Amino acid sequence: MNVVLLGLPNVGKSAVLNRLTGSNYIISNYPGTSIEILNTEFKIGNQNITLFDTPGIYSLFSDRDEAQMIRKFLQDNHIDLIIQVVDAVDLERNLVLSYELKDLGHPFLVLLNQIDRVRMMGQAIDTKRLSRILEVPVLPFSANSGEGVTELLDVLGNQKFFCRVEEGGEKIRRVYLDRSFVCSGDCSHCLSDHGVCPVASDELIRTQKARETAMAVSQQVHPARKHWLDKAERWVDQPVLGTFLLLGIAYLGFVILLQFINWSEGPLTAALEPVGQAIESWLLAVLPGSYVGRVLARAIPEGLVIPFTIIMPAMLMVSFLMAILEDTGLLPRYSVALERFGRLFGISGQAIIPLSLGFGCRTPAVLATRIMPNEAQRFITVTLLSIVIPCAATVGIMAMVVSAFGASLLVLVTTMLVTMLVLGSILSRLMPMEHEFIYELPPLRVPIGSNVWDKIKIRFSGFFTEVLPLLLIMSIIIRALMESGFFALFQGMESFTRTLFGIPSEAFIAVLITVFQRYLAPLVLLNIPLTPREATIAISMIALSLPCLPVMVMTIRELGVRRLVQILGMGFATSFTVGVLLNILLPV
Amino acid sequence: MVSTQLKPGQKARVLSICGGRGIEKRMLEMGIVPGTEITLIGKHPFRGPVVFQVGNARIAVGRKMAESLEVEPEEAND
Ligand SMILES: Nc1nc2c(ncn2[C@@H]2O[C@H](COP(=O)(O)OP(=O)(O)OP(=O)(O)O)[C@@H](O)[C@H]2O)c(=O)[nH]1
Ligand SMILES: [Mg+2]
Repeated sequence: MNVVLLGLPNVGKSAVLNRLTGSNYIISNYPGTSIEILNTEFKIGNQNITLFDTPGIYSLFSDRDEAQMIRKFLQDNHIDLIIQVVDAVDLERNLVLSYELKDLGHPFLVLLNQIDRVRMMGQAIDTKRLSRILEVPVLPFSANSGEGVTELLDVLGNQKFFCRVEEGGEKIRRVYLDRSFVCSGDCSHCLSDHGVCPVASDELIRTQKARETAMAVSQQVHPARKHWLDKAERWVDQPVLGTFLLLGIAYLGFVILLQFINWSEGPLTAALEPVGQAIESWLLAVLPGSYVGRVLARAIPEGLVIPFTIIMPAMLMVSFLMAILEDTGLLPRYSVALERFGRLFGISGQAIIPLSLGFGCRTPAVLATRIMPNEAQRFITVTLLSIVIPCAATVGIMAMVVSAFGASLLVLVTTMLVTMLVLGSILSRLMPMEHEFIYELPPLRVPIGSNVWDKIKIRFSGFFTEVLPLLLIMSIIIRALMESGFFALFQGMESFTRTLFGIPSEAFIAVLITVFQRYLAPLVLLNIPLTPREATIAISMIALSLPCLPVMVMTIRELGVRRLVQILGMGFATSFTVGVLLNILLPV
Repeated sequence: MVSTQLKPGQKARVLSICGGRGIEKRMLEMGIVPGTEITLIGKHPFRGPVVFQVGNARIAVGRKMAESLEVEPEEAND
């Protein structure tokens, strides 16, 4: 049996799916978390159910990509039941979609999710009455507490939703997904000829009905319980004060991140040292005197140190901070607070969400650019992600290079910011596009521990499957090349790289390695002697370079090869320009 | 009057949306239609977005878009 969860953004569709099936889909407190239709199988008794999670939509008939995707999905697949997940706190707006579903004539039921919050606010919803009005089952539910799960499973297991009352020929009107109509002509609100029902008035009628229904079924039963979050929301949503608060929080996060890396490095290094030594002496004993033995004995302990002491803490802390921003509902508030500022540089406020997700990992962030309002903005955002934003692993290793050579963090951060603004301005000049900003702000919430933990696990899993193995291999390759005198071959480039960028040729090779993976490049730097100035320039060139391979693949999938080639071209150009400019600007 | 002329905390009823079909539709999707009651929460400086309370939801609207929203303020009787 195919069951689809539909609903407005951020109402808790993914949370409902996780609650029913025990899956671990990402749940976040902002509209636009889920961007794809994903499905999970589960069983009730001996009934097999395929449950689909979908991106949030405000209207089935919207022109937005998500709605188009869902329309196509509903047309192409056999769907037994639609479960409309409703944010019960915001009944009126959610019921508009219910009336659309009703007009569609497809079996559906309404899940009044977040019913816990309705109670908190001292309100009550008459579900029986709502069910009578909509002529579909209505179930109170809370994905957080698990309330209503048994009832829902009962309805699904026994297929109770099929007993929809359709009194003799009463059902006179149907809207199809392609917006055509079937109408027997005598429905109250469709007095004009068939098919000419103006869609606009149709929408207004649904809005009207939703308002009346919401009024009829909800009432205030006792005064709302005061919650400190309401007060916090009032503070954060004040334009000026709120913006300063948000900037303060961002700065605090940055400080916490650097402090955490600093603080954990000592103990971790101490713990790793004996392990490294054991591996080294073991390798030297097994492969005595050989080139291979020498390379491995040095490379493997080295290759373990950086991932474990620097990148692991960085990835953990970034995942944690991101989860907090996402789950509290602060993240989209940055979009609003920085909208005006971003606009000056041609970057839409909405870009804040994918750009900050990129600090975790840039690959899913490219996917998240789907929330951008149009293609031009999307391309600009993907470009900035690819060239400017460092992922957690890169942040870690950049921090390492900065502290190892005493490079200037201030220069690095400033260069990155300036580059982002300049790139944004140039791109938005090239493809100007009037766009209107409209975005729903989620309520502030206290993050749920288990949810934060799940997200840290999802984002951190890449450490063992990708970052650690890659860094180990890279470390062996670099060691092998150094021992074999390979780098000496590039001595000829020395005068070229020195005059142009003020860095030695080996450091330039490091910059070129970003073609494979940005966080591997600084590894080369750590193996060569550099002055603080050289290190600052080299790390800035690495920090502003190319997307990594997984991002490239995702970019091709989402935007096409042509766009990727453009981004790569801009990446090289940016990196080299930054090198030349810093070489001119930085005092020797 | 235009919605951006409201003061923070002031309630109003939407009279019309005059920004073309596209804007009208996006507003409608967010639940803002003629007749909707909205409260202005805050206006970001330098012609930044305007935040409205619509029902129990908060919606941030770009300044230009907000200017296409014609409203009638409600009598402040509290
Ligand atoms: N209090 C409360 N919060 C809930 C409930 N269900 C979901 N939430 C919260 O609502 C927020 C959104 O949940 P998601 O499951 O990501 O919502 P979604 O509908 O999948 O959102 P999109 O994918 O963005 O459309 C999260 O912060 C959840 O913790 C509930 O029953 N009660
Ligand atoms: Mg979701």
